[in-house]
Order: sequence, then C-alpha cells, then structure tokens
Amino acid sequence: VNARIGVVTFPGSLDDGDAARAVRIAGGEAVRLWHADATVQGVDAVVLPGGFSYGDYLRCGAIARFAPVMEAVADGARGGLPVLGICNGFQILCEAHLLPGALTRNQHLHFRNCDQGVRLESTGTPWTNSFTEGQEILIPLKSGEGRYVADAATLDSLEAQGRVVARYTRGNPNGSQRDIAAISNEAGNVVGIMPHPEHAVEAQTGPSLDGLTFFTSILKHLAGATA
Amino acid sequence: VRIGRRVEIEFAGEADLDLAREIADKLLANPVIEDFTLRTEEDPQTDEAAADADADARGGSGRP
Repeated sequence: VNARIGVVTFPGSLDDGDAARAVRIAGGEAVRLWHADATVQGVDAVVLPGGFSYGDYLRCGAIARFAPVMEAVADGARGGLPVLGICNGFQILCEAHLLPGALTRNQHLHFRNCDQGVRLESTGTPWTNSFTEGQEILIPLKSGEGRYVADAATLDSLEAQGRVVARYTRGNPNGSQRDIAAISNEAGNVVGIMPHPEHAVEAQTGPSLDGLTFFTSILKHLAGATA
Repeated sequence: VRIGRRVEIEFAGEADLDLAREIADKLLANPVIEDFTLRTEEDPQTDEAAADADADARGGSGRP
C-alpha cells in the first residue's frame, strides 16, 4: 500500500499542484486536502504548500492558521504526524505556533527568485533522512517574506538541539538570521523550509533533482514506521 | 521610523477590552515580531466605544 501524503489547498495556494506531483514522482499517493476540511482524511503525512494563502492579508499565513483543516493538522502534528511547510506553508506553521519564530519581509525589501544553494544540517527528521549531513543542494527560492527571525534564546536553542535543518549557502538571499532556510520542531516531525524542494524533482523544469529527496525521505520514514 | 497599522474595532454597546486584546494577540498582531497597544475611544455621535489596536512592527516586518 502506497503511503498517503496530504497536500492542503488554501484559497491562494500556488504550489499545491507541484507538491502533489512531487509526492507522486517519489512514489507516494498524493491526497488533495481542502482548507475547509475538518479532517486530514487519515493521511500519513501533510504538506502545506507555497503560495499566497488568503492573499497574504494581514500577514503571510496569519489567516490560513485559522482554516478548519489547520486544527486537524495541528492536532496531528502534536501527536507526531509528519508535516512539511514550504514557503507560505512555513509561514503558516510559524503563525500556528507549531514552529518558533516568524518569517518577515526580506531585509533588502525585494522579492527574490533564484536557484538557491542550501546545506542540509539535520538529517534526523522524517523529511530529510535520505540526505547526508552537510550535503549541499540547489533548489528554487521565490519569496518576499523569507527572512527567518526569532529572539536570540530561541535561535540558540534551535542550534543546540540540532533543529536548524538547512542553511543558505553561497550568500544569504534575504537576511535570514543565522542563514536559516529550514527548521524543525522539538520532536522533528514538523519541518518548515523557505525554498522549494517540490520545484526541483524533474530535469525538465528544476535546477536539480535535489528536492525529490525530501519526498523520498518521508516515504522511507513511513515505510519504516509501518514495517 | 515607526511603521504600523491601526485597526478600529467597533462594539455595539460596551467595549470589551479583553475580547479586543484576544483578537489583537491571536490575529491582528503577531506577538513574535510585533507589539500592540489597546486604546478605547468614545464616539460622541453614536455613543459607541471603539478599541484601537496599534501594531508596531519591529525588525523590518512592516509592509508597504
């Protein structure tokens, strides 16, 4: 039986199609979830995709956090359900307090769209277990509010607990504190990442196939969990 | 430089500051990156009170 990975669509989501496609290319079954759903339909993991949920009104992710489906996602996440938030999904996870800190306007105030070097620093999460520690990958970054910020104590504890999952390499594109590109929660099952793994899964459209490893990682994790 | 937003909440009848604070804390402002203050104002014409939530953005999180 294929692992079922839910991909949530909020009004204004943009990358839900690509995220579902990445799940399928990796060999999983993508289950499309709707923001107004009361449940996550018993999926084995959830992806919150990139985009501009609710038009980014108020703050990025501020309204999506209150979507009915997020209650089920948050309940699941607290119980160990693997959740990956990409870009806007990362912002939603921070607004929902499932991850610490916040994503703010890029320091230079410009939108950034580029192929970004990223170094994997934690391979202990269900979403990164198939990388090698310190591996450098190239995946697209496209965001105007991608600058990760948190108070010094939070940053220190993230580092001490190995919860900085990935950092930007070859230059910090947005002023993110300590070059942070991705973090996890304490248990490791919830990961937020600003650049886009789901756009780097096919040679025809991506700058690499590096992003696919996030999706093969979760499938490997789920296969191990049920074995 | 101070960048922020001012949100007016109108109540029918008595202003509920606790409710206004909860709305500001959970939705209108993100306390991780923003501060907010509450202020009540009497509207002389309708005799309704309004609570203003001023969110001050810190760390360059202000939006255009």
